[in-house]
Amino acid sequence: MREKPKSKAALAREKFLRSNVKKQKAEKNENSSQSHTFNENNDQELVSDRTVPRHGDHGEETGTMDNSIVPGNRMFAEVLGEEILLVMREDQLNLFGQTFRPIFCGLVSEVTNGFITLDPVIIKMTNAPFHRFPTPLSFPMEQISTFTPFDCGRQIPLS
Amino acid sequence: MHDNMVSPTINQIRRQVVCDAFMEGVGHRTFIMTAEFPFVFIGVIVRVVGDYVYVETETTSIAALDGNVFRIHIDDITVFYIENGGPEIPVIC
Repeated sequence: MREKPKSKAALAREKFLRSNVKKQKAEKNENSSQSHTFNENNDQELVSDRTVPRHGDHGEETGTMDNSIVPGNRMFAEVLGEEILLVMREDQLNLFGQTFRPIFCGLVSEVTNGFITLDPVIIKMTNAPFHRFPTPLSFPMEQISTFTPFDCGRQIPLS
Repeated sequence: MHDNMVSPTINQIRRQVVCDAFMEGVGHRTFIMTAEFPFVFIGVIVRVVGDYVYVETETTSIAALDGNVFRIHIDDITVFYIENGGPEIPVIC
């Protein structure tokens, strides 16, 4: 185990955030009688309903208002567990000499109040539109331009 | 950091949560993509100060820059991944 400075409260809050969104999603699925499978690598302990202290490592209050997804991020919580096509704000990204538009497709495995995670995720490069990335990828919400529910097997022209 | 008299905007909340994720990832390897040169950073998170993350890079798009500790503006980060028990970021030599 690696020694690292971290706040147990902050870690517990983060876990609570994720488990709370999963609970909300599970309730929604029960109501609409659909079933989704969630791709989660780390074990999810369900934290109790008590309020977790909202203090960051530096002792100041963090930006999250409460321990669930704020209403302004509702559109992301709605697609948890679904495949989406995601486009970021930048014109171009560059991966070791390969330039591409930031168009990604994948399954939403995690939603927080600041970023979403796609796992597994495909980068829609022009010469390799189904290139699967070896790791999950997280996308800050402030950098997201648009997204839509999307079947990642679909072919679309990119140029 | 936040004025408690006025509730933070959704934008501030989102940015703060991303900063929190990097703070909790101190000591872990990370993969970061930005739109600005040098576009890709692979390395260990050293510390977070405000909205800058210090990354001791083992790999960037330029071999000559490997080993530098880049202070990356978190607002500029377009894509990231922090190793935390999940799949490992490949080591690129």
